[in-house]
Amino acid sequence: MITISFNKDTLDIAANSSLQQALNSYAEQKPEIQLANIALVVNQRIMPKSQWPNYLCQNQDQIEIFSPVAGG
Amino acid sequence: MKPALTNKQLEQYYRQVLLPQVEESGQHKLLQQHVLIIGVGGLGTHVAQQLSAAGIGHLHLMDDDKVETSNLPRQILFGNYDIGKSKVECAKTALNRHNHQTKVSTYIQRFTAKTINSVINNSSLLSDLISAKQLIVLDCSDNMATRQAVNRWCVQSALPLISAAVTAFRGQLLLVDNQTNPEAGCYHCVFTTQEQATNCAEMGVLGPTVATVASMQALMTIKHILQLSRKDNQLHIFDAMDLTWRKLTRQQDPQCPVCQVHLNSPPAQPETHI
Ligand SMILES: [Zn+2]
Repeated sequence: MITISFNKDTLDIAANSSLQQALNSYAEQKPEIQLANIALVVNQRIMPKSQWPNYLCQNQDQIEIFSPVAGG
Repeated sequence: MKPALTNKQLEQYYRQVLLPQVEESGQHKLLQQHVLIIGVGGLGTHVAQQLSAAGIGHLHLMDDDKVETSNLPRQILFGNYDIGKSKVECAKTALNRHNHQTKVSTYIQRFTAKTINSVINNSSLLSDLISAKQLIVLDCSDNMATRQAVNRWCVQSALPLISAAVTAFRGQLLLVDNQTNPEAGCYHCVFTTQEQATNCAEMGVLGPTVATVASMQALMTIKHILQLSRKDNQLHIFDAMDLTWRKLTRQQDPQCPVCQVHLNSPPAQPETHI
């Protein structure tokens, strides 16, 4: 197992979990997350959505979820 | 040597020209520059005022909305006398009053992939500017579908885009310039959604929050024109509750359907047979 953080929460996941798998686990605990409408940041870098299944989470990764604002 | 500025211009823009990063040559660049502002609401009105005051030569304003009473707390270019009138026309009148040296062109259109083409077809000036890559585009719109359409058009047209957004207590700002900084990707590399994210009309917003984000957008525009910015591969995020800005690093999505497709499709070459 490795430990990562999602926003302010910590999450234990299997080693070699992808970012997508980590997000899925987190979203099970937080059903209010609108998965279609978010961006993910890993250690201050925005991770393009197409890379979520490819990126393997590392121990102590700091992951943040944020959503676009569109108003003007 | 012929000075770049008239005495009147030197007097007016003296405090800008005084900066070694600007000088007369920089002010001359600002006076020659064309900027297209898409959306003349909270962000667009503030940005237009600041750029006009700074001496940007020609502003192109695109919006199909009319001024409403509920706009007035944050769209301070407008007054009660403007209610019910075209935003771009009211903005033009107000901007001309402040600085008649800035030319203002207006397009009463909502930006879509279709309408921008008809606007360009009806304006030889705009179409010349786009061919010559002499236009900077500012996204000040208020919805996700427009933001994605503006980004796509800018990438396809190889025009720099400075995109700002604000809702409630949060603002976001980024520069997309696929010509000079393709590694940073485009708007779609960060946000893939086409859906309507929450906007000001649903969420509410304070005028000074809008003005803060708009000021940063105007500053980024001026710096871009003067080539003062190092390659900006950040997403700048404003938290109006904390009064802080933070930066996140952007990277190009290797599978981005907007900027990758465009980069990876060079003009067709005639096939050569050996
Ligand atoms: Zn892209």
